[in-house]
Amino acid sequence: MTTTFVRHAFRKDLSRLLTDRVALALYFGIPLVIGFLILLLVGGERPKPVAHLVVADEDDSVVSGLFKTMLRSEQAGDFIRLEESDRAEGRAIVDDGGASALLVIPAGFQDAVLRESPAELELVTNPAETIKPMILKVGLEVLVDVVFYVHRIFGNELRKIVESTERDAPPTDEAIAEISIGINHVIRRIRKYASPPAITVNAVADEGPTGGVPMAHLMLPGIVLIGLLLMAQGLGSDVWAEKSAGTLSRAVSAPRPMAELLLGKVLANAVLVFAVSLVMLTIGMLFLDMPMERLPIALGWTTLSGVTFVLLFLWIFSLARSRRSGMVVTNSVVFPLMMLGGSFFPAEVMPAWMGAVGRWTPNGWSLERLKDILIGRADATALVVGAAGLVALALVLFFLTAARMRGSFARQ
Amino acid sequence: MIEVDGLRKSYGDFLAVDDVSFTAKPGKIFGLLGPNGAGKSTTIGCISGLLTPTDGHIRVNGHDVVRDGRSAKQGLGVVPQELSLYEEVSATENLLFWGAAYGMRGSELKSRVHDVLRYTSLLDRAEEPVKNYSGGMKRRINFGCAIMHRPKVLLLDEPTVGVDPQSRVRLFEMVKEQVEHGTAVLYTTHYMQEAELLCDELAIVDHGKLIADGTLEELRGMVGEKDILRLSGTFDPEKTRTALAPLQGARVVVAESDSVQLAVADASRRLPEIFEAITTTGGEVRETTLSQPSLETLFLKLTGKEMRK
Ligand SMILES: Nc1ncnc2c1ncn2[C@@H]1O[C@H](COP(=O)(O)OP(=O)(O)OP(=O)(O)O)[C@@H](O)[C@H]1O
Ligand SMILES: [Mg+2]
Repeated sequence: MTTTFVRHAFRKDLSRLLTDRVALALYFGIPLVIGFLILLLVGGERPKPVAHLVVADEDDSVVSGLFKTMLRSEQAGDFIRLEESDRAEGRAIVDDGGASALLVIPAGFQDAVLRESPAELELVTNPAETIKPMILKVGLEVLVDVVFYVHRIFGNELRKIVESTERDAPPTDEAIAEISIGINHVIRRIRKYASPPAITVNAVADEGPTGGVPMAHLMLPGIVLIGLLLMAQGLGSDVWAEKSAGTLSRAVSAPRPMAELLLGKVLANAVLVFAVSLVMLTIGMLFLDMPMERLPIALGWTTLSGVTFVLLFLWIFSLARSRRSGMVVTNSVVFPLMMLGGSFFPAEVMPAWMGAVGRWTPNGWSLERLKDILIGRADATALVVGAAGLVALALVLFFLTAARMRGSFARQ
Repeated sequence: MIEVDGLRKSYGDFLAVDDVSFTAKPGKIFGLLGPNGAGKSTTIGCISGLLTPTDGHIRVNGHDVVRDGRSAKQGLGVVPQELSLYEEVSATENLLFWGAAYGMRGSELKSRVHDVLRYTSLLDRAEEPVKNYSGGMKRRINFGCAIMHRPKVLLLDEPTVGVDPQSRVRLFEMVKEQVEHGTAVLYTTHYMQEAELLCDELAIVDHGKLIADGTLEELRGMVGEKDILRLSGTFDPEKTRTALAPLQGARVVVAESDSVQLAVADASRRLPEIFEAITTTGGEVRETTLSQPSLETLFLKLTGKEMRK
């Protein structure tokens, strides 16, 4: 085997991965958004970094008031400390490093919400801070969605209140408080019927099935695994990119073995898996205040797992009749895998049979050990056995995929 | 050197290549000429190792493509019918990759990349992603990737489809330069003129079968000695046919109100006679073209149909 070809295959695939900006943004962004949502639902028990947000409300309307109330609400209050100011002063505070970010609610925001036309919030972040502004950004995006949903549900009431207050100038604090109390009330009622399972579990988190480990800590590995699986699905479709570009059949007529090309590809993917895991784990662990010395092993583990998943999806895609049917098949694989493998709710709170099945899915197998690593209860032998299992699976998938790529997949 | 002997390739029940044999010699361009679906790409696929022949033998530089595939592939450069490039990355990266795919390495690989970039006139755009290139530039780099390892045998599958005239000329030059270095070239096309212009030897294929082969002269000889004379103007088809019928050694192929075609031996000398005959019918000739017997005529004669474009 020459390493030259593997090296060049690695290089070209890494360049190709890096040029696909949209895919990259998705790979890095999806787990952050999902993570934020799940953590918001579950509520971490540990103190979180609190972001200092300056708000300049240039709209000064009922809706902008509602929006600020939400930012001050119980749940958001855990992450965000709010201060009101105007644009210029707020800017100065951020530039002096006195706040994580400045949020400008522009004039016309209320109109935009009521008319469901695009509204833009301006967020000026403090360049010296990285994590907190990011939390703010993701959080605000979620909140903006919430505002729109609120409008969908309470649109008429909202409009009525807005109209009544418009007659006698700025809305009173009472008016705003009244609306938010009303809304809170409705949300509480809806939750009773429509709450995701994770929330009901939350009530018994401390002495219940999770054995005293904070729920959020149990959820982090699941979120990481969601990120890895979705990314692996995206990366797996690359066999179709090679096929439709004609490079696959050209590679078949070249003398170097297909396994070398595939090895280069897998290594390039490993770099990306590593980078995304690094971001996910670092943010998650800092956020949940977990001991950072567990990061290196966790990172090694997620990289090995991610690469195995990539191979799994490369292989499934190489069996499909078309890229589209590959997409359909992998979609119908990836969501049940996440579900069974404990990404949406931990195996601890699953029905017994489901937990038992889930432990044998590749991501369930990976998640189990990742959880142990992150919580600090992993023992060396168990990890070695776990890793051996993944490596064995990865090797089998590697040779199956290489055989497909030089065989009938290239020709059909 | 490519030796193809009794090649058959079937897709399920469908026989795409049926008992094809030919030899492409070093320093020569061997043309495989045939209409769409004739089996040209399938033949190329069997030689390049992409497809496994159903029957028959293929040897590339003496290596059997099935039993000794690795050695056969090593001496082979393939320019596929469709562009086969990594469009997201640069020309340099493509060349490095395909060179390495043929076992090149180190400084040899690097300096060869530079040479090929210069050869394909892409040096100044070498670091740009290939997707930014024009169609002609893409064709050139597609060709460059195939000659990185200085193959002794070059397969070109309809390399000029969709190519502008300027790039086509450059491509012909590049192919001819390879041939001067002793490379054996197998060139497939469905353009007759291209085959006539470029190829030393030819095989005509249709429906998977080889229907004629030989040098251009040999193939022309098969059509007969007659030239094709095309006249355009205004004619009375019936009268023209009658008037021209008595002429010795001439045959009317087409007679329409605006054009007349004749197969004539020694046509240039007999033009006055022909013109006179047409004038007596009241016809008027505005333009004449005279062409030598062509592959087109041969294909028409052998298959009874025109080669589709
Ligand atoms: N993978 C395949 N499965 C089934 N039939 C195929 C396959 N590939 C080619 N064929 C058929 O084999 C015949 C020969 O195809 P081939 O591509 O070799 O023709 P060609 O001479 O290269 O034509 P073109 O000038 O259009 O490129 C065609 O009838 C085609 O439909
Ligand atoms: Mg073809």
